[in-house]
Amino acid sequence: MAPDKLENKVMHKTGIQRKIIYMICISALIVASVGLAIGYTNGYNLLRSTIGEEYLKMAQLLVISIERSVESQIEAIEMTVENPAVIEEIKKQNLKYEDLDKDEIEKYKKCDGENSKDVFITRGYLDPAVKEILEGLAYKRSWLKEVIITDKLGRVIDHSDIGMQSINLACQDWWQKTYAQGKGRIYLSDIKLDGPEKILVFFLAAPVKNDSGEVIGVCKAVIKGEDFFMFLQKFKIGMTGHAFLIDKDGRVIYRKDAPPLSKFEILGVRGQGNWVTGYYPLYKKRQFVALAPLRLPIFSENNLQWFIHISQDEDETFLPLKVLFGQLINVILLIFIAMIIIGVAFAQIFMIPIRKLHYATTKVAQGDLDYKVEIKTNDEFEEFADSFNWMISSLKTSTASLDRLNKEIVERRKAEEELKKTQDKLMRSEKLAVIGRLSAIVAHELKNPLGVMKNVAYHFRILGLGAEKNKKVEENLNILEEEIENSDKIITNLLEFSREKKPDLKSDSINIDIMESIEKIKIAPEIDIETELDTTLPLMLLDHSQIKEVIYNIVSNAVEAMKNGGKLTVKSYRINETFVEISFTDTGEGISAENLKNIFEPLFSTKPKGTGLGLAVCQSLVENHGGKIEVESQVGKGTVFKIILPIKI
Amino acid sequence: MEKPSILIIDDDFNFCQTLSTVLDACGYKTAVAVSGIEAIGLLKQRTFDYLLLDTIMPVMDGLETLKQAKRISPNVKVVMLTAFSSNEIIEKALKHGASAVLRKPIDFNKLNSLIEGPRRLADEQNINYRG
Repeated sequence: MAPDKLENKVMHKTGIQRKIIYMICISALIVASVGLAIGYTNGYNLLRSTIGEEYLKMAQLLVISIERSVESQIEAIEMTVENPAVIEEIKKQNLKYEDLDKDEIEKYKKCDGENSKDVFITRGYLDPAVKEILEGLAYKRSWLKEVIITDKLGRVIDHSDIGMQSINLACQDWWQKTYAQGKGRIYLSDIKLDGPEKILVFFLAAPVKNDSGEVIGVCKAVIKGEDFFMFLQKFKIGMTGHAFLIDKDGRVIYRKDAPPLSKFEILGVRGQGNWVTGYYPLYKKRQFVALAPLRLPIFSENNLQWFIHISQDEDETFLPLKVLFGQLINVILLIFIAMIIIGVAFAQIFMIPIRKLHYATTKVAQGDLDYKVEIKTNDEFEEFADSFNWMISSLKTSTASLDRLNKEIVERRKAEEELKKTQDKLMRSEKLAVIGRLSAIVAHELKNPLGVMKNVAYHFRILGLGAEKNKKVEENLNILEEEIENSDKIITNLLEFSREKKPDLKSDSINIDIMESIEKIKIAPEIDIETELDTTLPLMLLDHSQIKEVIYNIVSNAVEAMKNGGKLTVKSYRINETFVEISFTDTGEGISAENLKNIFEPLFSTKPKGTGLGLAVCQSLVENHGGKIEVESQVGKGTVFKIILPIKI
Repeated sequence: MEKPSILIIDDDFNFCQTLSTVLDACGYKTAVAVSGIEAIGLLKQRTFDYLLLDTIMPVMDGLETLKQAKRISPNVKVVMLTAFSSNEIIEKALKHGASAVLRKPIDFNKLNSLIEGPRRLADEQNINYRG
């Protein structure tokens, strides 16, 4: 594997790195989410209760200011009814009832409506000082619509707006309650719409008492709600936070932008004061609502229950929290990104030793047992790398010994083969040597007897015992001479073989050797000889007589193998720079595989009169020249002999 | 012309005997010696035209005999006979004055042509001639 490919492989496997990043990111995400959720919930609850308490406090403050206003109104009316001038005036007015009998008094008590006029009673009695007081009271306070004073029977003595009118108000509920059978008490009215203009009003009534505590008249102050609660209009929380006044039935006493006394569904328990959040039908939105009751005794005495109602869109209320939450999410996102970056960096650092180890394993797998992993992380990785290195060095040691063992085995096998070859060769050459010595002795000893026989045969021929006298003798002489010739040939062969021949090297053409050898052989006419000789072959340094002998032998064998005719093709050609090959392809009877194995063995022959030395001699001659003989054969098809000889020895 | 006289020297008496019979029959004058020493003795007594000298003999071999014979009778023509002609022996024989080397068994045609009309023979496989 190429190193760059290896790197790629290392680079592509980033599973652990990814896992580490995922791990860090997931843990960061979990922590952030949980933190955010807890923070938001806690923040929401805290803010909710804080704002709730705050709004309730604000409502209560508004309650207090209304209460104070009402109280100061009561004080003002009390100061009026305690004014001596007022008391004196009423006393004076009441005097006219002193002389009247019961029936006449009852007549006065009658509520005769606003239009009845009793000139007798009212005319000329109004003290300008009292009028001044009343006017002062009404004009000093803008929210006061009118102030009315009645005598002890309910007849109006004075009126801040229209002056004296002969009207009896004793029939009216508020008068009776303020008069209270002569005991007298402060009365606060419910809110209502007054007059043709439908002005929102309520009023306070206070008894006027003489020195002995007897109720001698009633003073009534009508207050314009619109003006009296004007300050509520100024109360604002953000864009949607408003305060308004309601009563226990949900009627609006005062609310900006709403028709007076309109009714609507409100949230919250109208008790001790509390705050709630929820869907508000009025605004069709979730609202934050605080509700605080007014608690002056005068209210409860008059069976009134008023509340300050503060409400705000929840969206706006919790806007700061949402902004904060948004910022928090941004911060968390930033932290998250930072975490990823840190994770990647950490994973990179974490991956370095793993990559080194991976690279090392690949190296070792490629067979580099000298590779050492260098990890100095002072942790488990370093320990791992050390044991890895140790493993590789042990592996190297064992591999080395294994290699040595293998090498030894291979060498031993080689040596054994070499030995066997040498033994074979030795045996062969020994065999050849023995045969040679034996042949020499035998041949030499047989030569003389043969010579003698030939001499005798020749003698007989000279003496004319042959042709002329006896044809049979002539034939036998011929046979005798032929046999002597054959025996001589065999003996010559044996001697030839036994002789140690050192090549007598001469530079000459191998093609000439081939042609000369073929010429020497008697070839039957039914055998066709074809030569394809490469004329460009260089001159070769050989013992040409020996090579001719080899060629002669092979061609002779081929001719013998084609007793029934055939074709012998002799070719010479160059195999490569250093070798020339001469091939002899015959169409003879072929050689069986069994015989082919032993064909170059000394003394092996398939011919009836063969010595079995021809090819063995050929082989040793060619081998002495540094060449070799090869043979291929197929029974019935023919045989190919190849002599391969070096161009330069 | 008188027929040439030939001395046959071979340690094999039978060979000498039969060869001399044949050569006698051919009309040559032959004598026989079965060792080199005997041959030298004969050569000292009389001259021969030709010596047919076996190469390998006990005590005194063909080459030694050749040398001595040539000393005694420098004009004698010597044909070495050999059962097996190695180049070495042929060269040595020719060097010491042998006219030819002839292989056993003897090819009488060749022998005849050697003696009757000495001429160069090209066939070096059987005859080496210098002349």
